[in-house]
Amino acid sequence: MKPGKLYRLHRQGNLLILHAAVGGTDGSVLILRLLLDTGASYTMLPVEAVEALGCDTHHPLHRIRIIAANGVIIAPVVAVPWFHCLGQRMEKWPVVAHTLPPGTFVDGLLGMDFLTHFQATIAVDRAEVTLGSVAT
Amino acid sequence: MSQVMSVETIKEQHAGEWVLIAYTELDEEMCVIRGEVLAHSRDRDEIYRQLPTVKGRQVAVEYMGEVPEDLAVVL
Repeated sequence: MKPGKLYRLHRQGNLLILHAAVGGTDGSVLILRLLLDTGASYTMLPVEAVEALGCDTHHPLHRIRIIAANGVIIAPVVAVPWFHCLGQRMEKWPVVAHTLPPGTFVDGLLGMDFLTHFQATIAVDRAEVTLGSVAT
Repeated sequence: MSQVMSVETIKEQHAGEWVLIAYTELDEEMCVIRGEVLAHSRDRDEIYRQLPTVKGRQVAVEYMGEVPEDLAVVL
């Protein structure tokens, strides 16, 4: 085993922001700004982005209820062809398709599904994240 | 006519706007270093509406401003 790699995040106020790439089967690549959000169960990307990559939000894998600041909403979960963040590329990664309100200054959320899968350790004071040990 | 520019130039020209960039160079954290501005607007949703027009390309959505200090995010 070797230690996981350390990645730097961008701090804006009390928020930690990072970039992720998401791709389609036609060669499309879209880079988005995500808020690292340990309060989010799932990774969330804008509806317009996942639809542009060919995902069918009208026939999702399933739908989930999201408890948001303005109440409970129902959102589709779709598998994007690939998702790349913090050096990790995942094929057919399920994401919640939901567009955050304007004014949040990020496109989506990197949620606990990704952070747990890769055993992320977040150093809030240093704006760094380390992913868990990986087998060599 | 659009042209490939550094992100510093893009920030100068589009301060406070959302931009859709066909990037030609990224750093290891997937931040745009250079690219061509395909669309820009103060309205983020206007940029999102352009996404279907860039199928097959490598693009980034970026906000060219700072988060206001009096803005709190509670999601």
